[in-house]
Amino acid sequence: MNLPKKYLVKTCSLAVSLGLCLNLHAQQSESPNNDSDDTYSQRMLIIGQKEELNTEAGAVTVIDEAQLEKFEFDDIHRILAEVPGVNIRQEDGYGLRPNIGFRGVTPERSKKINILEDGILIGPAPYSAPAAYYFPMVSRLSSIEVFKGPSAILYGPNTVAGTLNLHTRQVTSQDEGMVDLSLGDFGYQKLHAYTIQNTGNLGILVEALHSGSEGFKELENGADTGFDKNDITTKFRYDLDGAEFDQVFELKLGYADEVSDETYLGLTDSDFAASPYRRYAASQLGLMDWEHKQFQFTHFISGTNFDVTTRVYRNEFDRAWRKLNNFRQSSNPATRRSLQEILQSPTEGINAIYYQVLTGDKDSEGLFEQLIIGTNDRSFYSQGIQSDLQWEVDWAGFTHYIKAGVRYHEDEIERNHTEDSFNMVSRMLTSTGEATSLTTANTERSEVISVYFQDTLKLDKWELSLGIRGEKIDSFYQNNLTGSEQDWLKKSNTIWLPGASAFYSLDSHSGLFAGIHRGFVPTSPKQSPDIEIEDSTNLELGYRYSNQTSQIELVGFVSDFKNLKESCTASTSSNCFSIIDQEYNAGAVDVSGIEASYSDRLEVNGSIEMPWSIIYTYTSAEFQESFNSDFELWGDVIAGDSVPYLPENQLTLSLGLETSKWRVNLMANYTDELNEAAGSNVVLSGVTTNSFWNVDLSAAYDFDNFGTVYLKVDNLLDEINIISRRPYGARPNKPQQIFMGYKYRW
Amino acid sequence: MKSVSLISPIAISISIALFGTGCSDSSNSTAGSQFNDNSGNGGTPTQFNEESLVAHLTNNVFTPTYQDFNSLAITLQQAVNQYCTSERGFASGSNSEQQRDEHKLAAQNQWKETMGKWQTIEIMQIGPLVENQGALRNRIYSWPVTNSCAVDQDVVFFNQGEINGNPYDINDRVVTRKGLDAAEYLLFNTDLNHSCTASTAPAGWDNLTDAQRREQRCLFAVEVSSDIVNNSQLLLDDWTGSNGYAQSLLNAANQPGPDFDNVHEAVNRISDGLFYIDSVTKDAKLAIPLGLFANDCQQNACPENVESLYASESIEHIRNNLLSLQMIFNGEIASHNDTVGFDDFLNEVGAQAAATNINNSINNALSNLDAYQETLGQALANNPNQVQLTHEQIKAITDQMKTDFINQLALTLPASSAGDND
Repeated sequence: MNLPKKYLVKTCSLAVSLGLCLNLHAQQSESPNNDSDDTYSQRMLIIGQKEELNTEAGAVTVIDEAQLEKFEFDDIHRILAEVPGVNIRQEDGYGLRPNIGFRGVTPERSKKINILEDGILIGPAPYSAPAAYYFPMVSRLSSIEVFKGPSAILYGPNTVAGTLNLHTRQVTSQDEGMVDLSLGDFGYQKLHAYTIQNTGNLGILVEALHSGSEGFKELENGADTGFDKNDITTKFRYDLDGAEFDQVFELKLGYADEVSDETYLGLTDSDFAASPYRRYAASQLGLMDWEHKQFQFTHFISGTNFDVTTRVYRNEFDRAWRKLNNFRQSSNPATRRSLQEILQSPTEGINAIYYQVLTGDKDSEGLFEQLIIGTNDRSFYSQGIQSDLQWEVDWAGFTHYIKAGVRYHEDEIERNHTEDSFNMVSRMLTSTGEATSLTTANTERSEVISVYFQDTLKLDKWELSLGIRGEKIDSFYQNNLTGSEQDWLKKSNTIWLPGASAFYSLDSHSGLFAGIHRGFVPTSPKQSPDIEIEDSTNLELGYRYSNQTSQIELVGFVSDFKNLKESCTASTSSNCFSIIDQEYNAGAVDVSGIEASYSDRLEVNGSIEMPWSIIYTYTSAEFQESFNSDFELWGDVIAGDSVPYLPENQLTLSLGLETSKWRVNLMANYTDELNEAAGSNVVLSGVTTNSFWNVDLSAAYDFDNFGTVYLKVDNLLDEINIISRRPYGARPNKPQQIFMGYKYRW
Repeated sequence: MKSVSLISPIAISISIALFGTGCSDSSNSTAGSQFNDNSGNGGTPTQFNEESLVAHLTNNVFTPTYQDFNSLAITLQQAVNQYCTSERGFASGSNSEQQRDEHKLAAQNQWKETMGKWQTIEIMQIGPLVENQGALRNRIYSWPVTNSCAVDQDVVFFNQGEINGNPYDINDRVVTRKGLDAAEYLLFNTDLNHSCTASTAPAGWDNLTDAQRREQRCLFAVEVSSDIVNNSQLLLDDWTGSNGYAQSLLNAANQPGPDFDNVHEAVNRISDGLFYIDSVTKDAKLAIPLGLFANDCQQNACPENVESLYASESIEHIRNNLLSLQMIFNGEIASHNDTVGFDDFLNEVGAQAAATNINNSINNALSNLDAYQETLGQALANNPNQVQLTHEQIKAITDQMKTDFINQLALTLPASSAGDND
């Protein structure tokens, strides 16, 4: 690990002491130039401040810092329970590698939504390899925006579903700082600190975060099953306000890493019933090790009726995931099988032998009992320059609100996948001595020019928007294995994505909106030109109400997919190892649903308030064509079959009691059962997860000038559920976990 | 304002340009010669009667072969039973050692004949032989998933009549403990010691006399051969009959059911079976023992990894695989005049050269096998170049099957051959 925990602790301490030392000085030197503060901060957000009635035609949800602090979640899955229209497939219980989808798109590795950090695509290679194996640590976020509907055309490339904008802490004009220490069950620890200092027009943010856990799963050899994650972000902001224009220059540098003892290997259903947190001996070498580096320079200029934000960015991500791939394939079709097949029917035929080796109950004897551990080593970069204009202009008798932008983006993934063979000997994985074999070596690269233009006309109570997005994607794939020099593909695709919407203000607090736009997900560079893009027409109709304490949003949506596309990754199934990232077409799919949210804050008495909310999502997603597919999530599909991993009903209820000194909050989240596969003739055909409730509790007490103590209990009722049987085998949710923390702000 | 006057025309021209494009999508691509686009075929529409191909192969090739195997399995069971009676008679003094040896040899020869037929069927793995992860196939013959120690353990369990207090039932036993591979070990292995480690040794075996060991092994061989008969009957039951897989193949053209959407899909499933010659005959039976893939000898020549360790029939097995491929490819079976095969299909689509090349390659490989003067294990130790040549000649067949055969006939490769292991 490149940045040891000790170093992070030092960095956190440095951030704290720097903040404390400079605090006095800062009190005397408040930044004089903060006129551009609000406008600039707003541009970092898609939606803006939630207190205003948002007149964007599209379902929007903002989770601000106060909401994020309520439960101090580290897991984006738990945070997004408060957002309607989000479908999630949990995997490791901690949310280390999220699977997030919106409005019926498959959640697999969040690859069909746009994930932005401060307005910049943050996935490792959003065009060439959209699976989001990197996800920012959510504890350092100051707000989260979820945006669905026609304005998706402003944030490509994936316009079928929506955009998740993760907003990091801004360099405010006020000096401030915080230190947050938390400890919990399963060896959990979190140390988080930041400080913001201003000197003249220069503001500096230093933020450091470490979190880790020994893990709640159990290996027989007593090894950890948890994780260690570190993150350091620094921002340097310089404000230059003039008579005509205000400008902001900001440099953001970030470093993050993770080492987690994670595995793709789950349990048989019967083993899960007996001991849900068990891990088989064959998973003992599982390890994810990644490192992320971030550079971003932003220039912002605003005049009286326009502003332009220009960003130059580069993100680098290197990861190596060592995990059990399979048994050595015997070549014989009758004896080769995936780990998923073995765990789904562990007593059938030769599976009984494989199962015993997996658990360590039997030593490896024959060649066919050797275990293959693969290390998928991948290097990514994502870089580009983008400029976004917002402009209000009177023209042709109307006031136009123009949003326009252009982006040049490049990203690349380089894969070097290797395999090593191991024998199970006395419950320990022991190398067979075979040399490491290189199984996959290739490069995929994309060079993309994106443009968008949206004109919004304000006509009395109406706001009418018409927009279009263009993506010109030049992509290149090259197999790097010796002797495969001629295995390459060059593709060039240009696509135009129009969108139109209308918002009608009923009064100053409420309005109706409707929109239509074209949804799109590109194919990756190595996919055959025969693999079609994902293409849909998306419609929505909604109502929104907002005042100082209450927000209501009710949205109906329909997505008519001309072609639904999926890709086979190791996280889908062990059957995918020989065809990693192969994409599949499903043809037409209809998705429709309702998203409803209502939040309010009642006054119990003069000093106690009761915030509460109810969030409900109904989703129906059905294949419209019958087809037979080798893809493990589909199989042989009959028109009318449901798209897998989409709960029909989801409900989140939250209730709190808050005073100026203390607060207690409870959140209960219900998820319907999930189909593990759509059709027949695949391993998990007909298998579902159970519907379940998860309840989380948090409480905090403020000691005026001496900080805040907080307590939280995740999974208060200690419910045990199979959250999914992918990648292979039943996986548990996180058990009850109690945390205590102390937070001090200045 | 000056800024507005500058930006305004830019924005307007951007908008006009964007809308002026007519919003038409476009795409183009170029690919290297090795790029596999998984598009399935480069074949042309054909007038070839695929129904007649499926009907001929089903009625005149597959069904008779399965029936023959069932008959041979019954004969094997009888021969093993006779041998075991003789072994017990020899132990009790009622018959001579020579009589026992003659009966043992008869049982061994019958095993070879039965196994020879099974090696023909290995190329015909479709329908009931691939359903349920190949469970039925593995009950009859599970190689390369074999374990001699497991057989030694079950010899003892069977003769004790119970396992941990439960009556012994071979139906419940893992496939490494039964089938033709277990029968080979029981009939051909001359070492009367068990093959297990100290911790897995069968209880009490070391205390038995040689005569008791032979008797226990032959008694279990009778049980194993009876189980093979039962499973061969199950195969026939699943294959024949009004709802059998054979009928499903025959109906594919006119009454497609749950197994096939059309007759071409039925042809594709039969084609899938032929690729055993690639993934098993070429890779598992030759490339692994040669050390071209990982094996038990650090990727050196490895006689321990050949198929038929005890009967030393590995070359015969390969020969029978090739003969079966030749029979299905050409549709030629001695008992029938009809000869509709894949060669005719290739001829019909104008790929006569491919048909000729595949046939020539099969003949070359068969001629190569005729030249062997020793077992495959011995050849690996003494003359690995000869084995290497056999591998290359079979690869010549599979290379053409993966390209011309698949492309011209608009077929798809089975997953086991889709990756390029070569």
